[in-house]
Amino acid sequence: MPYFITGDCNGCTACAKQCPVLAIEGVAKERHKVNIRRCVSCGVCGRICPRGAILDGHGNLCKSVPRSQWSKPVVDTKTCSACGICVTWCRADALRISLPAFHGDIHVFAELYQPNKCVGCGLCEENCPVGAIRMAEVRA
Amino acid sequence: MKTIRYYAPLRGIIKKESEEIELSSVKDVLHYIEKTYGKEASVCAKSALIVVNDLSISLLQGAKTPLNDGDVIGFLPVCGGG
Amino acid sequence: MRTPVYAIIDLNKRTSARFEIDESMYRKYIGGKILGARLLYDLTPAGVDPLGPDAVVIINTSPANGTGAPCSSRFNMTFKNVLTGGIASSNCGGQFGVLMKRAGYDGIILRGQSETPCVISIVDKQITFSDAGELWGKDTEETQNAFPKIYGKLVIGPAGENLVRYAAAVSGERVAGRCGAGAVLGAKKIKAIVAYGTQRPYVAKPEKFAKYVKKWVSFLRNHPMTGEALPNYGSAGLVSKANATNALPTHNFKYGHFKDAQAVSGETLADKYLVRNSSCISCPIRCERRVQVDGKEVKGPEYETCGFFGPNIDCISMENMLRLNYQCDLLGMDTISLASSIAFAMELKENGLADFGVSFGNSDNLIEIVEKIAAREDIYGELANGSKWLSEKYGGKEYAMHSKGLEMASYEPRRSVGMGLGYATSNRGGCHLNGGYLALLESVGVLSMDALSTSAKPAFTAFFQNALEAISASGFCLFSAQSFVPAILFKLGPHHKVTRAVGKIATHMGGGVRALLWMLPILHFNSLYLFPHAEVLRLVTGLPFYTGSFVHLGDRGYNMERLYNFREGLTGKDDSLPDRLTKMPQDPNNPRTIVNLDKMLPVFYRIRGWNTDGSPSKRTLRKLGIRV
Repeated sequence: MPYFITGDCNGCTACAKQCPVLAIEGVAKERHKVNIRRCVSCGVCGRICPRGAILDGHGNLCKSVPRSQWSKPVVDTKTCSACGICVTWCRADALRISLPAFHGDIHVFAELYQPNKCVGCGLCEENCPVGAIRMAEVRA
Repeated sequence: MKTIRYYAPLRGIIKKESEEIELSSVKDVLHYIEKTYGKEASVCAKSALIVVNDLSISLLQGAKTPLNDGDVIGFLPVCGGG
Repeated sequence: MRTPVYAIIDLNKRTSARFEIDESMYRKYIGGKILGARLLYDLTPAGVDPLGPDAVVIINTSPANGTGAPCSSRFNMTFKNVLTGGIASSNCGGQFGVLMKRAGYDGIILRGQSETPCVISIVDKQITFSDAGELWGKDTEETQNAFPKIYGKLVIGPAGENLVRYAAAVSGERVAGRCGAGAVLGAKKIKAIVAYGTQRPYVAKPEKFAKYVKKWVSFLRNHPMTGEALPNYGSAGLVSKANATNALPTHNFKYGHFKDAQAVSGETLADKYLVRNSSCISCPIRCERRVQVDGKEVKGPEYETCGFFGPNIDCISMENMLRLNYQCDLLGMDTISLASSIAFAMELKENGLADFGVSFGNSDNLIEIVEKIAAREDIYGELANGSKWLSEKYGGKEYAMHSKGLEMASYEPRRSVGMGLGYATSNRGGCHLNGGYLALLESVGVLSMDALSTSAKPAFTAFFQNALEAISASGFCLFSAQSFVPAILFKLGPHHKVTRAVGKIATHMGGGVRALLWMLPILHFNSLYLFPHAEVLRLVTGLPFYTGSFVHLGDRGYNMERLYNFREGLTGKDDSLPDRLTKMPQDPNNPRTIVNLDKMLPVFYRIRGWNTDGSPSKRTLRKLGIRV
């Protein structure tokens, strides 16, 4: 169910900048809008909104969550086949296929190489065909 | 003087890229590899694509293919593609 | 069950409308190149100009695309073949197909011609148009970089804009290379098509599917071919294998062995130039090469490019070859047709028939010449028309290495006669894949049937043509089928007596395979060791696909393509090869080293259920449920 931005929105653009599927449209300082065809209900906008202006798919008000508490993907490198699906879903460019450990290394895997950019959307976990990714709480 | 060229994965076992020898047939080279480098190397060598001057020994005389001066015997990985 | 969603796009009016694919059409033709062939036949009259406004281009996906099944990124372009005038299907592993499906469309049908260069956006089920503006004239890399990173893109380069007959369309790092895919988009003045959305693909049995995918991925990763050889060497590893069996085209297919082939081999590439391997989305095999060219990491060459910018033009410079490969991607051109046309031009010069400033052994001047071909500058515009056209103007038909007008791939068929039959009968022209890829079983694989024997080849060719057709049309990369060769044979090696025995038996199994083709309905099972694609298709669509009905689907597709060809005037007479391959033995001391089409074609036609002129018989069409 798509999320919804209420009139409390002041157009700070924080949500639009982090939405992993570019589903939020709006002009700075004006109320933003969720593209309902595209929203994947990942909850990133709800966690990031500083004004409590976002309702989730069930109509509940989303609570702001500090960035340090956002979950991050943990990759089981033995199961991961480096197929790249998670990397293509990651708008934040937090994931990549690891670089070879030595010349000729073919046992590469998905890795969170820019963890600070991760928004915890979970699209990597959701779309991994072999179940190699688990979103986990990161202890500070 | 003849030359043996080792490619992966045999190269990883023998830890050499090539060496020079004075053996006179493919069969002799296979014996040499078993004697000098052991069973694992021997199994790997036997399952490689074996070429003499870049031609498969299947098109020559198999293991009996002779090696003449200047010949190069190679142990290639097997592959396929499109 | 869910029928596919297609849109038909009018480029003159810049409008789009929903196009109905009814349940019956879907169940019979499924998607990809098979449904593409049916639609092209139905939506166009005979005789259209492939580059004219009445030509139709279908860009479509398959049920497996986007589901996460291994090797399932492949999408298809079907159009009238610029080089042959018959059917063309060009397949690509780039992201565009998966994203177009996420955007809500399984396929689009392009009609007419845009008045000015345009960009088509398919986003969240909506199709909009904009002017290409300054993008027109830019190379494919610059063009793709103009759109958001997460978008799927399909673009053309200058070669497509200038209607080079073998121009290609590029999606990400992959290419819809053959038959003029780039030219048909260029003719419609489409610079780029981009797609984005978040819709999930339909999967009929999601839990069973998820389990099977895990099993299949594990199987591929543990198989010596798909789990070791291909990720380590890519298809480039084939150079030394083809050379080892005299099947490496050298000097414009005059010879089959090149003494310096190792300089441009997959092993040398892996040792000296490889940075890492990479993959199409959704693929655990990861055969893509990444190399350094002038300090930049770019995509590396496939086998055909290695062979054709190397031994086939007598060149040994890997650096030149890597540069040329990258340049062809930027310009948007098929390396096979380009390099084969250049080899032909070299032989024309050798024989004093024409001088395009290219000669065997010299690849230093080719970068400059390839730019001129893409720009259709001066006489290089003629090279842009392909080797068939050149041979009709200057002579040398006996060594213009195409079939039906499409240049054949880098397997010398006089040492792989089943491949020769495949080249001659492939619907899109001299293609090794559409031709059944018997080279894998005759010369470059671990298992070798007698490469010169003709007896079993017609049956094997027909069987594999059907199987590969179905695999492609379901959305899979053909490398995922390489695991049907049992892993044990790789452990034993090509010279082991068991491997040799299997090869010998296969050489005489023509009757068995022929019987198999008649017995398809009883193959009511699916096996990971044969065609796991059928099982995935079954779980994704909910339709009853088993090995037999899967191969039968491929048979239907093959015949549909054939019908299109016949309607466009390509007949059994065009199932031909140049004289160099049929009349001049590769080894002058061994008269068997030719492709004996006269012997194999009639047998092939009978096995396929075709008339003696090569046309599908009424009985065969009835059996396949094709109505025209």
